[in-house]
Amino acid sequence: MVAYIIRRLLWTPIVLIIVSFATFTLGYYGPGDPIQVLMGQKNNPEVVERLRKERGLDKPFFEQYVNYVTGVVTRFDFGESYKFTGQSVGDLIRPRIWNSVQLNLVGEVLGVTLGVVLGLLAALKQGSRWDPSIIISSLFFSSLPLFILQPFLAVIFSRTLRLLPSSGWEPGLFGLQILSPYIIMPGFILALGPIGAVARLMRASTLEVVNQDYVRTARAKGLPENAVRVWYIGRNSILPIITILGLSLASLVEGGFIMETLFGIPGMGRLALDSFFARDYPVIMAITLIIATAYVLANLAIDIVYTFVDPRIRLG
Amino acid sequence: MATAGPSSLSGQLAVPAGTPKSPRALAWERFRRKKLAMASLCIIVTFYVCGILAAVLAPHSYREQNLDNTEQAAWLSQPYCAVISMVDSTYRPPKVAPSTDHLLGTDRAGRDLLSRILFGMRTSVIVSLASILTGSVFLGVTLGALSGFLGGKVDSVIMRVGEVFLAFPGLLLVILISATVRDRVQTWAENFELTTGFKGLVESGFIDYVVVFGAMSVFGWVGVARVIRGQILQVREMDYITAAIALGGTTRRIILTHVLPNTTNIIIYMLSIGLGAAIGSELILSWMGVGIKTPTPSLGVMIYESQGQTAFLDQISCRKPPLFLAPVLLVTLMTFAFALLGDGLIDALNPRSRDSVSGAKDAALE
Repeated sequence: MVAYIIRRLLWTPIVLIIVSFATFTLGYYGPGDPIQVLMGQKNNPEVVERLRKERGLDKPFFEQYVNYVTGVVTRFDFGESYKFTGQSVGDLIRPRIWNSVQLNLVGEVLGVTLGVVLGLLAALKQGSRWDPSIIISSLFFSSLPLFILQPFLAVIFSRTLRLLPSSGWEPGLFGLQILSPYIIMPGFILALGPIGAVARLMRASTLEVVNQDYVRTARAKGLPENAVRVWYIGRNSILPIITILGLSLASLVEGGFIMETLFGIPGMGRLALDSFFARDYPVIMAITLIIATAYVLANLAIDIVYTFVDPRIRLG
Repeated sequence: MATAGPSSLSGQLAVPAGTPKSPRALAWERFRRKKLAMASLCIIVTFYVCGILAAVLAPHSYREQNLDNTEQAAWLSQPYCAVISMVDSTYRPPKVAPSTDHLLGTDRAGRDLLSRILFGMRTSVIVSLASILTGSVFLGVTLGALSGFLGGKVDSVIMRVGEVFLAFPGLLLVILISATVRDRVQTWAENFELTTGFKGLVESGFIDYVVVFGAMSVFGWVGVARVIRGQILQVREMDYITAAIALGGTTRRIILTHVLPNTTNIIIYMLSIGLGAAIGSELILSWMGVGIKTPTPSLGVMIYESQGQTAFLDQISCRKPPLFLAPVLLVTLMTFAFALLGDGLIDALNPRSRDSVSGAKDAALE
């Protein structure tokens, strides 16, 4: 077990080196000269040369790459943004990552909870008309393309009912955006995504648990039906959901750029889009690396959590 | 309560009378009994046929403008508008009255909406088929099969490479690739056209297709490869494989007649999931302005150009032609149809899967 974790942890930097190298190569050979972008159409060749030297952009490819990696590893320095002159990439990312995490947390928690409840209900009602209608309607909500819902909801909740702000991002209670009305609409739309998959998985998993001996024993002991459902059936059938949850851990930092664009939320997704379009390579590199790290660590976390939740699983 | 599952069990235990049927025929029979899945299949087939035949079916060109006839009302929505005009006292009809010439009306540049939607469907069809056939299916099945059959070093190399690809933020990388590589490919194609005199490559939006589905394929194969590999590893341990080996079957014969046919079900399923996902990605990419560029019509671009609260209200109250609503309804119908098709397929191809975790997990992880 310990050996496995160590092996996986040793594999992580290798993945990150490959990811960073690939992104760096795309940035280096891709079109668009950051200095030209910075200086605009009319520029002084001397200044351009000086800036290029200052930023080490005149050095050969490998030297630039090695410099970048040492900067990141030793000083945690991701360089300076090309687009927002004078701002370090770290300062750009820090507040935005927090916004994205809050938004995605709301979406994910809401979506998975709804999915689990719906799946459990569908399984317990197996054979009745409720079962297929629950699964089909959750599939319907999950299959809606995210970006078409915003005008519908905005018209209903902002224009007609005047309950929620149609876009924007302001701190709410205790200065936390997560406790403000601005998060409700994007969070709700994000929550629709996982409902279908989670409900379907939860239903299948519950059906496997329902016929287990320990469930019969619990009923035979005379436990109230609700206790059996929640503590015996629900708790055991939730195991497979962990995989989905784990993978979505990584997407917490990724940020939903669609929601962030539609609702004007300054998050990672929005920043990623802007920098991808502006070819702001230091920011692109940093975002790619952060997401890759999150993905690899989340995968590792799933494996480890599995062994705790289900002691029968052995990692090798 | 505790006797869950008799209905699903009886379907599976029913022994067909008369001549025994092949597993494929049985699966098709199970699938045919699912009304929603069958309806979805019909919708999807219609979509693909319309997309492929767009040039024949479309009454007008997708780029021909007519500035004297902008935002003409949709002929097809007349009954709906009649109802609205009775309910809504402030109702004012669109400036240009509907005609059978433009069934869905015209957009701000006077282009026929129906034709644009048909050509947008063609874009979706081309991108989804191309990215699936080149990327997910070809790369994924080949690499997954190699991984599963050969095992050992080949297996670990392919799976490690796959892990690296999964670690990339896929959609963002597609954006980066189309933002950086597209211009190069475009210049290259323009030079190619200049030197060879070959025309229409750039104009037809071919470059957009190549770059977008190329980039999508690069990141699409890992999921397929993993599933195929898992399936092959499972099949390899089956008793009938051991029996075939014991009977002296050659490796080639075992692979072709015993292993591969037992993975086609999962390939069919992955295909349906993959097509839906590719259509979705193309929509999102075009919606963000990196995929298909105007004047090549794409449903994503059409939705992006016509979205907004006021436009939405105007269209739902029948004051404007359904520039936003028509593509949105079509897209929603398509994605829902793909979801139902996948759901029906996995039940039909593997009857135990509906009530088993592994089947649902495959579906969920997609």
